[in-house]
Amino acid sequence: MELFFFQLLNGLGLGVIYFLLSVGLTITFGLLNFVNFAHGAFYMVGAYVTFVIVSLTGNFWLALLIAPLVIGTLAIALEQSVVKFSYVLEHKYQILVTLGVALMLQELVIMIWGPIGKNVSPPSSLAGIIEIGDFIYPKYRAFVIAFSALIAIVVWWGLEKTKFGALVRAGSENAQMVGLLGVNITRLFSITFGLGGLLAGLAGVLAAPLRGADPFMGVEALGIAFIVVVIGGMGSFLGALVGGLVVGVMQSVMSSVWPEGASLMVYAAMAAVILSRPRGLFGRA
Amino acid sequence: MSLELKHCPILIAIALAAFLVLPSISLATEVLIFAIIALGCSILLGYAGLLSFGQAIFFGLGAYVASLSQIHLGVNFLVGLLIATAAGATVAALVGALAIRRQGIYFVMLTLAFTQLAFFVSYTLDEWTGGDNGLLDVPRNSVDIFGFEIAIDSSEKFYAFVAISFVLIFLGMIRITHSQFGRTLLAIKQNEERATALGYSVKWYKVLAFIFSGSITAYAGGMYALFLNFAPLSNVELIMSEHILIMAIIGGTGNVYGAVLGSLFLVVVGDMLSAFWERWLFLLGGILILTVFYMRGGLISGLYGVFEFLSQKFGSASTQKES
Amino acid sequence: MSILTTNRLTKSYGEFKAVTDVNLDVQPNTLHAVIGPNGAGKTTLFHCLTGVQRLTSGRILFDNKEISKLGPEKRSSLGMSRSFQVTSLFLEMTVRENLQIAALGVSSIDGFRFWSSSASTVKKTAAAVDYALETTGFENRAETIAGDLSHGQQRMLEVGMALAQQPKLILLDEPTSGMGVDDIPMISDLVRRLTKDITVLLIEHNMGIVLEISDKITVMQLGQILVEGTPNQIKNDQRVREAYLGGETEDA
Ligand SMILES: Nc1ncnc2c1ncn2[C@@H]1O[C@H](COP(=O)(O)OP(=O)(O)OP(=O)(O)O)[C@@H](O)[C@H]1O
Ligand SMILES: [Mg+2]
Repeated sequence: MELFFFQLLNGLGLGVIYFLLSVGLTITFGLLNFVNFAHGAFYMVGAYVTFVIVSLTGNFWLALLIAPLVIGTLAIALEQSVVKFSYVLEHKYQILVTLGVALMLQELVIMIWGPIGKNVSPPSSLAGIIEIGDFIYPKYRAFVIAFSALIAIVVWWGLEKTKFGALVRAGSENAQMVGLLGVNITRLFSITFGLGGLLAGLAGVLAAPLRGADPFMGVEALGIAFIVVVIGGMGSFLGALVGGLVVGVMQSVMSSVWPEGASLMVYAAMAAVILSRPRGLFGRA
Repeated sequence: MSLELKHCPILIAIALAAFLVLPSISLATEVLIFAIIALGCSILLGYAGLLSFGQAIFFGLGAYVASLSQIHLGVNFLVGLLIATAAGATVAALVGALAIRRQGIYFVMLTLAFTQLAFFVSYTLDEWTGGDNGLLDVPRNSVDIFGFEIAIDSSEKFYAFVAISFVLIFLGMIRITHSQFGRTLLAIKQNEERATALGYSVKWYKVLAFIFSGSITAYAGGMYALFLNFAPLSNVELIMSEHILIMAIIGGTGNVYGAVLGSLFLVVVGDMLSAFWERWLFLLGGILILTVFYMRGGLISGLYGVFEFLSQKFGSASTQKES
Repeated sequence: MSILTTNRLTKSYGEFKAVTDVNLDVQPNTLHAVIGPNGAGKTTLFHCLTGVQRLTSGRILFDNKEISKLGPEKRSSLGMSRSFQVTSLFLEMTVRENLQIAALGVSSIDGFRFWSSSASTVKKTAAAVDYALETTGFENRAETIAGDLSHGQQRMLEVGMALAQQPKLILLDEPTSGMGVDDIPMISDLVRRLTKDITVLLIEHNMGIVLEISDKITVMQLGQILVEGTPNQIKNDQRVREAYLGGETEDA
C-alpha cells in the first residue's frame, strides 16, 4: 500500500513534468495545426543548460530561472529563422523540417557534451527526504510536484484571464476569425511557440536532477508528449494536464508491476485512443 | 515488356557500378540493400502520399524473422527471406489498415506509436530477439537443390545475391508503379475526396501500397541481418524509421531511382564523413531541411535537371528516362 | 417509373438540420433542377445522394435499389456520378488521365491491377474517355495538365469527369459557377443534350438557365422543399417569388 502510494506520488511528479512538456505542443497545434517534431529537443537542451549552470555555479535556482528563458529564446530564434517558412507547406513537410531541426539540435548537443549522459544533482536545500508520520518522500520530488502545480496554475491563469490568452484560445478555435479581427496570427503563433519552448525547457530543468541529461531524452520526450497530447486531445490545455497525469501515473505504477511493459502500455494506450476516440478526452469536435 | 527491357540494363549497370566504383564490397552491399528499403518508403510517400514512421517495423521484423526461421526451423536462407517477406506483408497489412483509419497528423502519430510498440515488444521478447544485445550469430543456411548446393559464404557471392534481389525487386516495383494501380495511387494522393467519389475504395489501395512497401522492406531487412550475421535491436528503433524516411526524401520520392540516390548518399557519404566526423548526422538534419525548402523532388530531380540541361546544350537525341 | 426517389431524407450536422424530410422524385431522361438560396441545403442533399455524407435518417431508392447505406464507391458503380461545386480534379494529371481515372472508377477491380501496364486498362476506357472528351469539347486539349487549364475549362472538365463514368444519373452541382458569361451557353446546351441518354439532376443559381432548360424544378429553402413544379408553375409561384426571386439578386 505504501509502495503504491509512493509510486502514485512519483507518477504525479512525472505527470506534471509531462504536462509542462506537452502544453506548448498542444497549443501550437491548436493555433496553426502545426506539429513540432523538435519540441522534445527543447526539453533536452533545457536539461543540458541546467547541467552547465549547475556545474559552473553550483546553483540550481539560477538554472531554474535562466534555463527556461534560454530555451524560450532558442525556440523563437528557430521559429523565426527556419520553422516559420514551413507554414505554407503541407503537414508532412512541416514534420520533416522540424524533424531536421530536432536532429541538428541532438547532434549539436552530442558534439558539445558527448553521447554519454550527465548527472545533475538537486539543490542541497532539497536533498534528503521529508517525513509525514511513517511516510517518507524525497524532498526534491515533492518540490517538483508543488512547483509544477504552481506553474500549471500560472499557465491556466495566463490562458484564461489575460488578453493574450484569450487571443490564443480564440485562435485555436478559429484562426481565420482572429486573423480577421486584425490580430497578426503568425506573430501570435511565434510568441506561443516561444512560450511553449520555454515550458518544455522548464520541464527539462525539473527533470534533470531526476534523470540526468542525455542526448536521446529529446526523442523519448517527444514520444511522451505525443501520447499525452493524443490522449488529452490536441489543442486542449486541460487535455495536456489530465493526459500528462494519466501517462505519468500509468508509467510509474506500471514500472513496479511490469517494468518492461511500462512504455509498451503507454504507446498501446495512445494507439487505442487515436483509433477509438481521435479527439482524445478533451479535444474539440 | 518494353518497360523491363528499358530498365533492366540500367539496374544491372547500377549494381555493377556500385561493385566496381565503391571502395569496398560491404559498402556496395549496404547501398543496394538500403536502396530497396528507401524504395519501400518511397512507394508509400511518393505514390500513396503517406508519410510513415513505421518502416522500421518491417525492417526489424524482416531481420528477426529471416534469422529466427533459419535458426529454429533450419530452413535455408532463401526460404528464410521468403518467410520474412510474408511476415512483412502480413504485418504491413495490419499496421496499414489500422493507421489509415486516421488521416494527416493522426496517421503519422499512429505509425510512430506502432514503431514504438514494435520496439518495446522486441525488447521485451528478449528470449527470441536477444533484447538489447541483439540476435547474434545469424546463419546463412545454404540452399540444397537435388544435391546441388548454393551457398552465399563469401562477400562476393553475397553481393551477387543482393544485386540480383535488387534488380528483381526494382523491376517489380517499376512494373507496379507503371500499372493502373500505380496510377490510381497517384490520383488518390492528389485528390482523395474525388477518387472516393469516383468509386475507388481508397482504403484498400492504401493497404495494398502498405503491403508492397512492407514486404520489400522486410526482405531487405532479412538480407541486412544475413549481411551482418546479426540482427540488432536498433533495427526497430524510431531513429531507423527516421533515417529511412530521410533517405527516401533526399533521394527523391515518386521515382524509383531516387531511392538509389538516397541510399547512395546516406550510406556512402555517411561512411566517408563518419570516418573523421562522427556527428555528421548534424549535416543530415540540415540537408533534410534544405531539401524540403529548395529541392522537394530530391537528388533525382536535380539529376534530371542536369540531364535536361546537358541534352539541350548539346542538342543530342535526349537520353530521357522516366520513372 | 422514377429513377431516383428519396423518402424523408434528413441530414443533421450536430444540432443543425441542413436537410429536413426531403422527398424527391426524379423521372428518367429528364432534367430536374434543384434551386434555392445560399445555404438552402442543395449541396448537402447531393452529398447524401452520392454517399459523400452519411444521411441522418430517411431512405434513398436508386433504380429500385435501396442505396442509403452504401458507400460512395458502390453508388458510382451502380450508375450515379456527380460533379462538385468546388472544382475537384487531379491537378497534376492531364485531361485525358483525369477522364481515364474517372472512367475506371466504376469498375471495382481494374484500379487494383498492379501487374499489367496501365496501357491495357487504358484501352478499356477509350470509348468512355472519347465520349467525355467529345461531349465537353476537349478533343484538342486532351494532353493538357488539368492544373494548367483556365477556370472555365476546369469547370467543364469537372462535368466531363462525371460523364466519363457513363452514368444513368448525373448530378451536377452548379456547373456554371465562376464561369464567364460567354462559356455559360456551352454548359447549358451540353446539359440539355444529355437528357437524350441519361437523367440529369442539376443545382443551378442562374435562373435564366434553369427556367429555360429544366423539365421539373424543386425549390429548397432552409433544408426543406418549398415548392415543386414545371418552370412555368415555378415562375408564377408567389412563395418562390418571395423567397427566392424577389428582393435581392441571387448570385453565388
Ligand atoms: N460539414 C458541415 N458541417 C456543418 N454545417 C454544414 C456543413 N456543410 C454544410 N453545412 C451547413 O449546411 C447548410 C447547407 O449547406 P449547403 O452547402 O448544402 O447549401 P447550398 O444550398 O449548397 O448553398 P450554396 O448555394 O451556397 O452552395 C449551410 O448552412 C451550411 O453552413
Ligand atoms: Mg452548394
